[in-house]
Amino acid sequence: MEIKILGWGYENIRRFNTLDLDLLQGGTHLSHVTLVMMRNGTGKTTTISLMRSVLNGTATNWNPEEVRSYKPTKGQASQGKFYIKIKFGTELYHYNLILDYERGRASYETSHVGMSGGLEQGHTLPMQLKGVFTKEFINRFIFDGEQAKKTLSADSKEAELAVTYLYQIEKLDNLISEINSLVQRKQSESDSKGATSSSLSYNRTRMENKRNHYLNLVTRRDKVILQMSQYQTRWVDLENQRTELITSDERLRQDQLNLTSRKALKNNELNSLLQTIGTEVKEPFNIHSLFDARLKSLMNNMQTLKLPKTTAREFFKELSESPECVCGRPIGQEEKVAILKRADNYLGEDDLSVINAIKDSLRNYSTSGELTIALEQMITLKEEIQSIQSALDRLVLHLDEEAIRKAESIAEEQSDIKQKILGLQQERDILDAPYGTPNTSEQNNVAAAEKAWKEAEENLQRATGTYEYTQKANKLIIYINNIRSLALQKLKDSIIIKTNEKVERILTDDRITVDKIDGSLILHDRTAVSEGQTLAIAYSYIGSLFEHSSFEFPFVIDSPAASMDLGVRREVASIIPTLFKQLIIFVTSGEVAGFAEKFYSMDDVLYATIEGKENNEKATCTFGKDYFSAYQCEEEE
Amino acid sequence: MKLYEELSNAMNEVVSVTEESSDFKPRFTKLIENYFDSSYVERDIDDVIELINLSEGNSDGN
Repeated sequence: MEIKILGWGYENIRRFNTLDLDLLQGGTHLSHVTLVMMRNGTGKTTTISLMRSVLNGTATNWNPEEVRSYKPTKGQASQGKFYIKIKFGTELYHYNLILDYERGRASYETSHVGMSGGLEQGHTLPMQLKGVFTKEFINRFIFDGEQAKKTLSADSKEAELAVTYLYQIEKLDNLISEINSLVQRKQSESDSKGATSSSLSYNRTRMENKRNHYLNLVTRRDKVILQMSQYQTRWVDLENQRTELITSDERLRQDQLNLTSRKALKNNELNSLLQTIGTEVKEPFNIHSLFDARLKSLMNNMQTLKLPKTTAREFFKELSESPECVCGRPIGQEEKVAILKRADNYLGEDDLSVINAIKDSLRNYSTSGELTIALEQMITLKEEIQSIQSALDRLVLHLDEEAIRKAESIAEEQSDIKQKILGLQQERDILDAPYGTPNTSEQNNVAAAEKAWKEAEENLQRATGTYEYTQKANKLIIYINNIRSLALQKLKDSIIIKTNEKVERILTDDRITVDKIDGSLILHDRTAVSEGQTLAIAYSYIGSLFEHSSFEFPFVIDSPAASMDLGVRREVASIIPTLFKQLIIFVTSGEVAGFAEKFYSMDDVLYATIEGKENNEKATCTFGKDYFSAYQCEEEE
Repeated sequence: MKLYEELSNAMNEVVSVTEESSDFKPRFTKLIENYFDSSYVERDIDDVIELINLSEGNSDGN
């Protein structure tokens, strides 16, 4: 489906009294590219934001302050309106976003061909776009620098979500939800048919209790983690207060600084020592001489027994093919079958290589005393750190009486918090421990509680006679999930190839490639890129994303070139029109050099210059390249 | 359209390694295709579930 923006307009919105931008200019031809020149601070961001809101239908949730923020500062307007004309395939839609400044409410009106009675209240979308035109989705084609950063931010799943939604992969998630609903309905129907059975009621209550208990434990775990973090924050806060008490005393400040820096130094030494210990303890012969003696004895035994050669499965396989056994007896069909059957009890080629590797390691290892030395150093270091901490604690004793009282109160609260954190840590460790950990049970452990719930659920399924049906449905869900992962991966792979082709054309001075899409775009061997490069990569990605989608979206961008150097601007300007079927670009006069001017030689470009006014005078829009370029010159002067 | 191409490839890959019956495979792929076109009925999902084979160790025999 081809989606095109045909125009938009304002009535009593901030600096705009009334302004209509008809991109068709009264005709039927829609330009491929529209360049809209607006000065900074005249409403570019407002326009982008209103375009998003008029399409995503979420403005009805705005609070009164948000609605009134669009009210012109001068004049007595009680209502504002932003509208957009948009074509979905062959259907023309007109959306009004009405801002009631008096009541502080936003509402929508929609009209489209085929709708009786002109404008209707509410926000209506074509059937195919319901569920697609979400707030997040619209941000992907009504674009700005923030959205570009999200595409490359490690904390964001923006890039992956874009593929999922644009290619409607999420439909497979919906199918899974439908399967789950169907299973639940079958269970309820079966439940009502067999309502006489008391075991059914018992099983259902049991399953519900187990599920609730599991959910309670999950909630408790979240609460424990939150409390721990709150206590830790408070502890740090108290520690800062304590430090402040000391450093506010000139006599003690230097001592405090010296001790703190010594403590930090010793802590660093301790950390590096712990790393050595961590590596050394992985070698058991270094931990205790008993392990060393046992390993050496194992090596001797292996050599005595000529392990692993004498027990190879292949030996018996070869033997079964011989006419006679090593003992001289003939090997017939019956003996051959018996030997082959038992051959599997012995080691095969794959096992042999593992055993040979073990033997090799046993033969070649040598003990070192490094672990013992490191452990001794660790004890000394811990004592030193403890001694520095004691010296730090004692500094408060040199304070005046009031400060000492305050320091004591801080120390008391810190000690109390420390105990609480320890208690919470223990509780979290038990809650989070893997299933089967000693001292855990379904009463105190999330994994055990989940297992108990799942078992109770299976018992209920058996009691309702839907066990087999549920198992089949689960297997079907696994197939669908596999298809989802594979299809998504294939789409991501092909989008990465297309993105990299475009990036290579735009960023000629610096070799940047996208490695994969894992939530966000992951770059090859790069952790940071410039703002201009971020935008160039994001445009390449969005352009590639739209390339094979079933929807052809317009692409609206706010100040695309502001942060780019001239070289990148020229490349972006020459490539970006090839990425999108309709392009609406908001620029400032500062983006003409290297960027907007590149469009002057292109065909099918509409130029619009909007001049917002500070006073009550109407904001105007002038179409035409001459005015656009002249306005630029005036601005420069 | 690209999605259908990749979806179709993924379906073929997944279905080819299952040990489901020859009845299941076409019904399953048709279900997914119809689901994307919104031209399915709930009965189709039910039928495909019933065609699943549990003999690969997914059932305890009950």
